[in-house]
Amino acid sequence: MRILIIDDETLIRQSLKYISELRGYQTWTAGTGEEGLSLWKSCQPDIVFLDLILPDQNGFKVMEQQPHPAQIIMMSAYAQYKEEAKKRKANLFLIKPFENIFQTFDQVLQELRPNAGSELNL
Amino acid sequence: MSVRRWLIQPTTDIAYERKLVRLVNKFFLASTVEEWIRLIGSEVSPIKKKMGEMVLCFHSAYFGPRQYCLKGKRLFERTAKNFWPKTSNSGPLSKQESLYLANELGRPFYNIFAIPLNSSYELEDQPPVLFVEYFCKTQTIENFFSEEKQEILRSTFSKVLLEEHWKSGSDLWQETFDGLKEPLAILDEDKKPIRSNTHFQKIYNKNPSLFLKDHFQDEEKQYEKHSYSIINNNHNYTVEHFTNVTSYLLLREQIAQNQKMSALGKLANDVAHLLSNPLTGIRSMAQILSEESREKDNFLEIEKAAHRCQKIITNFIQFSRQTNKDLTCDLNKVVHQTLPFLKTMIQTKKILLNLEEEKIMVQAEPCLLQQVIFNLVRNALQAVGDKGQVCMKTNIDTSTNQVQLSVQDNGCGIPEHLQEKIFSPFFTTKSEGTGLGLRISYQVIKKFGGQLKVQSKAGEGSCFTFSLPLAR
Repeated sequence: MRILIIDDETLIRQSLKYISELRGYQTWTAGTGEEGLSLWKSCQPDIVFLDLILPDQNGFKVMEQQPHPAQIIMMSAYAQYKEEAKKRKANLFLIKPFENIFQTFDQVLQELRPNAGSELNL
Repeated sequence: MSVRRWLIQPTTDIAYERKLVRLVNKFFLASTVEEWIRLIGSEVSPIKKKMGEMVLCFHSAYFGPRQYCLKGKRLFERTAKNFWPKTSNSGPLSKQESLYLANELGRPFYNIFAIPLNSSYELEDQPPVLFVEYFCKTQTIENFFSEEKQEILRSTFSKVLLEEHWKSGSDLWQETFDGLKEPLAILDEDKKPIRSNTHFQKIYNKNPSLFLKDHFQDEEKQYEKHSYSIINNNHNYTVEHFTNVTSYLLLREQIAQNQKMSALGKLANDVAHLLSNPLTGIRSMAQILSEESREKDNFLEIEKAAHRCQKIITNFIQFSRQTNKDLTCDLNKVVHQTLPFLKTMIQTKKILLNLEEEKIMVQAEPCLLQQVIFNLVRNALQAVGDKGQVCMKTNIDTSTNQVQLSVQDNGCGIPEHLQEKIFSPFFTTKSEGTGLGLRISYQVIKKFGGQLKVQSKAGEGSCFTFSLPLAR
């Protein structure tokens, strides 16, 4: 399984990458929307962790341009965008802050495995 | 009528003239209709056996058509049911006209002598008339009520009517102004009140200098002065009207307070979201490193510190949020959430907590309750010295299904005469105080069905206690 993480907060990016690799997934990271899209195209990930607010464009815009189908996990501190994310067919919406990064990551992958579209309250 | 006045010729009878002068002086002193008609009663005593009842009919500006009936010394006043016969000259009434009095007073009348009292002051086209019942020759009555005497009656009655009119008019105004709940006065050029309403007098008697200010406070009310000048008979007067602006000021303060809190809320919300990203990063990485590194404990501390930062922010959002849908909260939790805000004030002072161990669920908006606790503890901390202590205690009363929270300090206390006033709006003893902290707290507790009370002794400390119903 291939995972792409797009978030401008380095520590979040690095933590997710660390656990993802620890669980044995091939992982790429990007700090901007543009960088993320080009990796999305070249690496063809199965799962994308996508921050809603990025320095160059917002996560919804990045989602519209997705070059390759993937399961998308939207992340934001603004809980009010949850409905919008659901409408735009994001597979999950993660509200920041996370209580525990290990639990969060594992639960997300567990949610995604059987069938997409369910919600997660972490 | 003015023509008739010129008809009075000087007589040659000096004794008669003197009598007339005495009559003028006597009738001129009457200031009410009642006094005036009683004077006639006393005047007619020489021929009283030849006379029956006297009925005076006239229009009063405020009471409409009136009748004064005088028989001997008995006088009564009533409203005229019908209009009396129009009379322009004095003389006996016809039988037809006499029926008027018979109908009005419910008994037969035979000889009636009518004296019209047309005055220059006529309110209605129905001039006032004095009806005199007599049991003698018409000539006798005509002689008694001579043209000169009639003229005296006319002019003095007109004077009495005018006086009553203005008097009842000014009485009406005075009553109107006295009914006003705000002080009102007319001041002369030396700023001395020449006319004022009772409310003004009440405050003026207590403290005459209060009215010199543009704003002043009496009991729990705040007044604002509105003044304008009036010129009367070349005198310059000032009307000063003090409007009660208490509720306006209270509302203004509350709106300002709400705006402040909502601005604070927005700011807190923005800050919380901005900090959420880096704090999530710090916590996540610290969680990973604490698993991996030999410095496990240190990384756990970093994680905890970041977690505390997040809690402070969410707590802050709650404190400043104006409307909270959540109507029940845990009183203990609210206390613990509030104390961190007072950390800078606590310093060397001590806060002792003696709270129930279980959750105490009450029906109240947590953010408002937090403001009440904040106010009470802040006041207590301000009242104690550097080594003072504040004790917070909760107590559940199962019989009334209420919880009591008390905030006790060993500070300066409140003198007994001020204890009643501390919950009044704008009452403060602090130079920077608004006088609203306790007022708002009092209202919040009342809103949720509780009571806020104080027990205090000057020099020994105070104890504020509020009660709230427990949530079911």
